Amino acid sequence: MSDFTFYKARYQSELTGKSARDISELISAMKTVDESSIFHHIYHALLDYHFLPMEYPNDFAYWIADVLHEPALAERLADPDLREIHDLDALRARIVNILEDYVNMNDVSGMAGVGQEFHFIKSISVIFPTRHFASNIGEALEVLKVIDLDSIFYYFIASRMLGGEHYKAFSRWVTENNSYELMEKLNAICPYGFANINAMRIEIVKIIEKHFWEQL
Amino acid sequence: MNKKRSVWDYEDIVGRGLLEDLELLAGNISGKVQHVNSTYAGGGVAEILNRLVPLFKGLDIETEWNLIRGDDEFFAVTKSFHNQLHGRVGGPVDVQAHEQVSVMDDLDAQIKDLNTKKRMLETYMHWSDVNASEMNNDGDFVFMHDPQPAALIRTKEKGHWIWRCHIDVSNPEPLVWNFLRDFVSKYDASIFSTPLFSRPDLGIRQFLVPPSIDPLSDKNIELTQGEIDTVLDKYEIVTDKPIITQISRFDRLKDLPGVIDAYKLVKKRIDCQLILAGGVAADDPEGMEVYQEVLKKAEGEDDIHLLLGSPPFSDIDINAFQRASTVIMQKSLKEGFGLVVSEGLWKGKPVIGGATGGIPLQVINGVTGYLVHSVEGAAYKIANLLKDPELARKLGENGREHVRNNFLITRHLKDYLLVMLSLENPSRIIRL
Repeated sequence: MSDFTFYKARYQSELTGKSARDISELISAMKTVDESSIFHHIYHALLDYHFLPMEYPNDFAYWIADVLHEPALAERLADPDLREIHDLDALRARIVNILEDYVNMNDVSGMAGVGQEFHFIKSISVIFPTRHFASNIGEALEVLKVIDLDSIFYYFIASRMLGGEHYKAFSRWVTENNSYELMEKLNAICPYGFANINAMRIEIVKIIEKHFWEQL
Repeated sequence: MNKKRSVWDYEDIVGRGLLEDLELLAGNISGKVQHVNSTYAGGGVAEILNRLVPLFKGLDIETEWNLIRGDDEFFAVTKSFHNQLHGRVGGPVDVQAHEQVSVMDDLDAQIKDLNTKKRMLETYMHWSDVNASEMNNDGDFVFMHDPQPAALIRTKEKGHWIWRCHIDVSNPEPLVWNFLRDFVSKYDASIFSTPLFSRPDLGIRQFLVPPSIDPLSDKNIELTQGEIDTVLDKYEIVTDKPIITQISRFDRLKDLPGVIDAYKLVKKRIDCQLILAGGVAADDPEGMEVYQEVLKKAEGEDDIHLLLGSPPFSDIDINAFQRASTVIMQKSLKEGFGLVVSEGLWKGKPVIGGATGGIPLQVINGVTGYLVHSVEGAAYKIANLLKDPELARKLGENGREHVRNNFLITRHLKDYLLVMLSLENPSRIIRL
C-alpha cells in the first residue's frame, strides 16, 4: 500500500470590495460574491480556538444579530440543515433562501451605522505538504491525533468544501485500505456543529478508534 | 539593522507547526524584501519592524529596512497628514459633497486653508523627490509603510510594491486623501489592519493583516512575582486589594474620566484600586490638560494610582502593571487598533473595552472580556469579574488563546509571507 502524505493550508484574508449596510445589500452581495468569501465567513471562526462556543455559528449571523438586531434571523443561520451541505454554491443558495424567507415574512429595517458595515472578505489558500505521512490506517490515526489543527481543518472542511483534490485523495486512500465503511463514517461528519476544530479532531479520532474495535 | 532572529525562539509559545510552515513559506519566496518607513525608533511601525525584520532575516530572506529622510517641516506635514487621514470624528464624509459645502462656507478662510495645504503638499513632494533621488528601492517586494514614503511609487522599476497602511483611513480629510490616493492606487496591493480602516476607492488589492505583539519583548515577556513586586514597590502600590488598570495616553478619547467614574461606582461596594498609567506626547499640549483634569477628578481617592510616565515608563513597568491586575480596561471612545488590549489578554487578564476601532476584534464579548458602552456598564462588568475570580480566570485564558492564534508576531510574519506568495501567484488557490 502506498504512503499517504498529509497536506495543510494557510489562509490569507483579502477584501473583496463588496460590503453591505442592510439586509437587502447583504443578500444581493451574497448572490455574487466569490465562493471563497462564503467559505471564509462561514468557517474561519472554527480555527479560532476558544474554550467557550461562540454565540452564533458564523459571521453573517453575528452581524445580523449585533448590527441589524435580528437575533431570530441570526439563529436561523444555525439551521442544522446547513451542516449537511458540502458544496459552497448549495450553501450560498441555502443561506440566501433563509434570508429571503425571513425578509418576506418580517420587516427588517435595521441599517448599519458608520464602521458597522459587513465587509465581504475572501480567503486565499496556500496549500503545501506537511512532514506527516502514513502507510496504513493505524498510522493515519496516530497522525490525526497530533497533526496541526490546520491540517484537520484543511482535510475535513476546506478541501471538502472547495472541491479540492486532497480530500478526494484521502478518501480514495482510505477506501483502498479496505475501509470503505470508515470513509462513509468520516464523510458523515458535519463540521457545522463543532465549537472549534479540536472538537472535530476528537470526533474523528473517536470514529476511527471505534471502527478498529468493531473490526476486531 | 543586521540582526537575525530565529523563529524557533517562539517554539514554546506557538508550537512547531507554525514555525515549520514559516520556514516552508519562506523557502518559496525568492528575491529581496525591503521595508521603508520614516524612523527606526518611536511609534508602533518602528516597534513592529524592529521585531519583524530580524525574523525575516532569520528565515534567510534577504531583507532591508530603509528610512526616508526629511526636515522638521516635512515631518510636521506628515504628522498633519496622519491626523487628517486618521479617522475624523463626526461620521462619514462624501468627498464631493464635503468640498461643495466647504467652499460655500467662508471663502477667505477656505482660500487661506487651501494655500496652507498647497504648501504642505509641495513640501511633501519636495522631500519625496529628494528621497527618490537618493534611495535604491530595487527590492522584489517593497513594503512602504504609511503615508510618509507613499509617493516613492513614482520610482518603481521592478518588483511588487505594497502600501502597508497602519492607520485608519476610512474617514479621511478629503483633500489629503485624494492627494495620497493618486499614489497609493499605483501600488500592486495594499495592506490594512482591519476592514474598518480600509477605503472602497483604491482600485487595488487590499489584504488584511492585523498588527501583533511580540511575546518575547520586554512589554510581554513572562515576569516572576519578584520582578512584578519590584515594579509595584517603585510606584508604592500595595497588592492588598484587587487592581483595575488602564494603560493609555492622557487623551480625551481614552475616556479616563469614565474609567474613574466606573471605578468609583464599584469602589462603593467592593474594595479595589485603580492604576491609570500613561504618558503625554511632547508635541501634544492637550495631553497635559487632560492629565490635570484627570488628576483633579482623582483627588481624595487614595486608591487611585495616577501615574504619569515622565520620563516614559519602561516596558517592564507596563508589563508588571498589567500582570498585577485583576481586570484591564480600555474604555476608549475612539481607538485605532488598540493593541494594548492584546497585551492585556496575553497576560491572561480579562479586558473591558469600548466597542470602537480594533477593540471588538480582540475583546470578544463574554469570551475574552466585555464590550461596554457606558460608565454603568463598565462598573457592572468590573464588579462581575472582581466577585467571580473563576470567571475572570476563564475569560483571561480565552483571551490568551485568542491572542496566541491571532495577534502574535509569528502570525504577522506568516501573513506577510502569504501576501508575498499571493502577489507572485494571483490565483485563489496556491499550491507549493
